[in-house]
Amino acid sequence: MNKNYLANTIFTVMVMLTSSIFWILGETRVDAYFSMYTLEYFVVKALLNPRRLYKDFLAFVLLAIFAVIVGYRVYEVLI
Amino acid sequence: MNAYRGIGLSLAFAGAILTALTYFFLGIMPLVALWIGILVIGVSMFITPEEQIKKEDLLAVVEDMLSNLSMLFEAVGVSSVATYVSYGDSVYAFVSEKPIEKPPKEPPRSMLVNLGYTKALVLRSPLSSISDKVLAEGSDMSTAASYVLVELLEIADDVMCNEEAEVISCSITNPKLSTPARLEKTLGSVYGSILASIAASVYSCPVVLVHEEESRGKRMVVLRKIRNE
Repeated sequence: MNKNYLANTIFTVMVMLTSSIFWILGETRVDAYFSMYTLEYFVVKALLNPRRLYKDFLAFVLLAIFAVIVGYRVYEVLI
Repeated sequence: MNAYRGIGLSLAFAGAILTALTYFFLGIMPLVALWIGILVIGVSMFITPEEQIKKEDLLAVVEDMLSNLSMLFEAVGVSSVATYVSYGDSVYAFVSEKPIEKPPKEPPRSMLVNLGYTKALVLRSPLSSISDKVLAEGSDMSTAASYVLVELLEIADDVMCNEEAEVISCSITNPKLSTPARLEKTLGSVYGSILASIAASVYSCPVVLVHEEESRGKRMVVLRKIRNE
């Protein structure tokens, strides 16, 4: 299979597994799901390095949101 | 946009809409997270490029390589007659000073062969690996040429071949590849090489690429069969 399509397929499987497992575990925080999606995206990117049409803006967006989530959690702990 | 990217865009839109609807009307957070996941997958699919290398690009690479060979031939003073000879499952191009009337019975093992009456540089034809596939399409020159150039490689709109005694004239409509002049003078253009290889396979005899000419969206390729007595 084409490497780019394989990366998307693996990422899809990982996202579906994450959603199912977290749901079964009773996780209701959206940021927990999102953090896992971000982590999975970067794992797939690091392992398969799929080609992108433009700059990988999805990675920037995911990382930015992840940084905001982490910042917010740190802020909650500090206050 | 190909179907894969289209599906990705659809998933992204659907994910975004469902995320908003679920968040505001149902409030089921795991479901919201699932839609967000689908949105991310959709965007990832949308920014994935089409992978296939276009046939024209691939042939342009072949043409560049042949062009380099032609420059080498010019540099070492090899003359410009290309004779294509079929050896069953492969086709070889003999570049020599004059047509190869009596080619070796076995496929040559070295690049330079001495045939007694002339010396020749030997190259495998660009079509050599798929000559079996071409012959499977039929023994008619026009059908085989049309199959390769129009259907398989998609580098022309139409090909018509006429045979008159030993001469085969092929008219190619709307050829999509340009050909460097130096390539035409030695090995022949990609079209000439392909047609000569097909002819050598179809007629099972040496075929000389006699003349090529391109004008007003048509390329004429003239080949000559060399009948072995």
